Amino acid sequence: MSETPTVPSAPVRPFDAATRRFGRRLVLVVVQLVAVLAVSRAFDIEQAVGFNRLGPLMLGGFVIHALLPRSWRKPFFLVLFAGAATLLFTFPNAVLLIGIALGLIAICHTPIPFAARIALLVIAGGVLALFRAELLPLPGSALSSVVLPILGAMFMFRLIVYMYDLRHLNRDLSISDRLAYFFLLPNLCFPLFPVVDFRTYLRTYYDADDIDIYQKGVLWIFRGVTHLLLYRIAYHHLMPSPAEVDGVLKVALYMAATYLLYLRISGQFHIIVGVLCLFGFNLPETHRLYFLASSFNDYWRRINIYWKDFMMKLFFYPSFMRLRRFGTTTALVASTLIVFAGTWILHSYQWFWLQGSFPLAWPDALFWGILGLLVAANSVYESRRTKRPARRTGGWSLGAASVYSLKVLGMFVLITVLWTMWGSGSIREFVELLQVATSDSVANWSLLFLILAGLVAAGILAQYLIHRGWELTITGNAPSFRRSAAYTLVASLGLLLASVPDLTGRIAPPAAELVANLKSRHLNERDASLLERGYYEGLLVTNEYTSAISGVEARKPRDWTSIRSTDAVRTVDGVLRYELVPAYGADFKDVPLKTNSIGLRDIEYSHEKPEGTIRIALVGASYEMGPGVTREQTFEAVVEERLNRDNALGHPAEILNYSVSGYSVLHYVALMRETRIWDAKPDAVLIALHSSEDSRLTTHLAELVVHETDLDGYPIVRSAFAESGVTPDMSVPMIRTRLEPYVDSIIEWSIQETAALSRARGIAPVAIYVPLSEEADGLDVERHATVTGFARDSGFPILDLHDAFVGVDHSAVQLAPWDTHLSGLGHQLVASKLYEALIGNAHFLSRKPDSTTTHAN
Amino acid sequence: MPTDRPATAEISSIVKDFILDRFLPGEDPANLTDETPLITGGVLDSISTVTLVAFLEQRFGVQFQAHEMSADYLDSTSAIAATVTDKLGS
Repeated sequence: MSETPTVPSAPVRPFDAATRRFGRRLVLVVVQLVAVLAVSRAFDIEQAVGFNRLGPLMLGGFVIHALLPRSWRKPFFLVLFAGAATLLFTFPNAVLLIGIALGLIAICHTPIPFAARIALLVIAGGVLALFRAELLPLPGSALSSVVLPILGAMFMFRLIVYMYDLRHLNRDLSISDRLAYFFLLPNLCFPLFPVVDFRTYLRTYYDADDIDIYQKGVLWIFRGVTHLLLYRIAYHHLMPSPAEVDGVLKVALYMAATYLLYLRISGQFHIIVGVLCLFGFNLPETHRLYFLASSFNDYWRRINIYWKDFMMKLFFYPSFMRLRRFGTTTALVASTLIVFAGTWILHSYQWFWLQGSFPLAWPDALFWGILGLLVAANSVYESRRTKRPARRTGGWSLGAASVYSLKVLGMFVLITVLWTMWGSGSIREFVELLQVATSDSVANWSLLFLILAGLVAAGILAQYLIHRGWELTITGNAPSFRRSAAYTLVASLGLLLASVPDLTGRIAPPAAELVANLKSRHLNERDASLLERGYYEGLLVTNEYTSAISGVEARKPRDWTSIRSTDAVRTVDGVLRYELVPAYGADFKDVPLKTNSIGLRDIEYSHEKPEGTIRIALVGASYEMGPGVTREQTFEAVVEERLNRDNALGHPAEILNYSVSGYSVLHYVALMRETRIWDAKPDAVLIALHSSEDSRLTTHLAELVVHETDLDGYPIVRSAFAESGVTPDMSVPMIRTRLEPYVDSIIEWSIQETAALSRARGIAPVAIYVPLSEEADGLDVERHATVTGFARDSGFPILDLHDAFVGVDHSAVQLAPWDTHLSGLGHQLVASKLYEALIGNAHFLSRKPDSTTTHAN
Repeated sequence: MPTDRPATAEISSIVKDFILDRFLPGEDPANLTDETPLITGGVLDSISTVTLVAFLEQRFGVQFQAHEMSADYLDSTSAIAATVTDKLGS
């Protein structure tokens, strides 16, 4: 077949009128690109994946590329890829990446039979898969975490398409044609863009006016940025925390927000294809107003169009052609089901290359199975309907508009429900969510239907306005250059102005918080809580690509696990549930973790307290135990060393660290009912409190429910379980949701109990408030007030360290992007505050407490 | 050369009539030119593509391969006519 003829490149002779026009328009494109990149930087859009570093390179590369003769452009694009790979991944990794890639492409063109080449590729892929699964020893740590995911993105599907098309393609291809297909620049930042059709890639390369392609690219990058901003609104403002999901309205909001999170994927895809357009690859759109799909087939055709095309080409058409001898309907249904079964398996295959494991979860199978059946049924309906052509009315009709709006809304609701099921940790979790909705009042259901009716009315109005000639979007296939440029520039400048906090604060104070959240790439309350308690370590929900957590989780070393999954802890009876193993020693989170003879992450202390020594027991959780930092770096060790170095208390000081990762205030009670602490004869007990007490306690309570733990001595917990109706066969999220209303009262009781246990032995209990790393960006005022209020009411003196991180960047005090515990710097800052607080309040260590709160300023 | 083979223009016209009848009912025939993009323009989806191919195979006695069900071969009535002509000639 002949290819679509290409439009000649714009001439670059200096004084030609066409050249001057080309130059003017190119400058305008560059100005827009600068503005869009500034917006992405101002709102921190995909900066964490390296888009901040790729952006300037892409900008400069684009200008040079646009001015080069056409024949030089693809080779230059390849050089740019190599430069960007070096910039982002260092020279050795870039060499490794490009070297393996060239090796794979070379196999495709080895002069041996086609089947032999396929066999060689399968062997090479298998070897790389063994490295990815870490079943073969890795020559370098970067191979697994950096090079292989990018290689996966470049080759896992494109290699299949390439070999398929190579077999049937009747045209000569240059080396740069072949290489540029794999070495797509945006993949260096965005590995989740593996599929591009090879024929489409060839056919659309500079198939229109250069500037029009570039303009489309800028517009699409901007569209991607707006999708990602909308994603953040859904993520931070619409998604309720699990505890808030208490009725049909919140369930509906939760489901809708879950589906809206897909904006992250469509946003990235728009940016990626937009960048490729800047280099002449005039690829078609990847998503087309998918929230407005009006049937299952329509949905399949609008969302992730490249994937749909890939599956049609490799699975649907070949299956259909083989099966059609059994009849069209049979072939249609069978081929569609094959496509969806393939999608399910290939989804896990994609996850394997990008994340390193191969999940096959029930919600995943059910999602693709149900969607496949619905699309198959819809396909049969459509194939029969086309035999009875309908008359086109061409005009406005209230009835037709109403039906269309209802279809769109119905499809949105159905996909939302399916999507939520897919994202659930288990089918049980999903069913329980539905039960929350179905058990709600008629009044709330009526309100939901009223809201849905309003949306239908809005849809009818939108159709009417479009019928009257209103252009409601800029997203048409080919907006004019001027219109597109004006829109991109004005909207970008508007967003840039909005990103200035002082300006937004003055003009619209309520908007200031919204803008602050739009600029934030922090996790929302749900994900932060899940990350802290290691929820994602055991769970690989296959559509978690849409979660902000997926980006950081992808970079987490595979051995970065919860302490509960290591030999460092052992199970014990009762409410305590687990404790550190005495005399343990091994690496944990890349640093040594050693315990002393009584199971403390601490040095060995004498059983008897030395004469004249002030001994302090520290009771805390992970922030105090210090996972990921050496023992010497923990704030406990730093303070102890400094107190002794400075002789700050006038006596030798010992701080015995009884803290264990994951402990809640209820663990504290259980620990303090044992004799270990009191055997050491401490002069004071420091009880560490955080704004996240509720989250850790809920996790602890759910564990007690699941294991049917004996609750003798914990009447408040027993009655909470009875009143909430929790049972061991419920899912953990449901148990957590049901117990949420009781959590604060159990925290309060636990704090009172720790104070009472301490006082009963005549020992001063002191509370210390230790801020979480994310509180570097601002104190969780409400939780801080609640927790410290409980401590104050229990008669605790409080050493409030909440401002330990003021003026310090959040990322500097956080252990790693995927781990919110304190870094070495974080521990140092807490240690400084605690040291000052201790020497300023040394009387707490030697007398009965009064009710004083002390800010360690 | 066999004389009963339809000319490319005739094939194009037959295909155009079929598309207007089956996939674009009520559409002004003038809007469907020889170069109107069918697959990339959204006129043909997967179901209509297999329907069209079944028609072409039956009407012209040719055989299509799975890899030919793409925009490279079927994106316009002129491309379809050229593909069918190639097959008839081979």
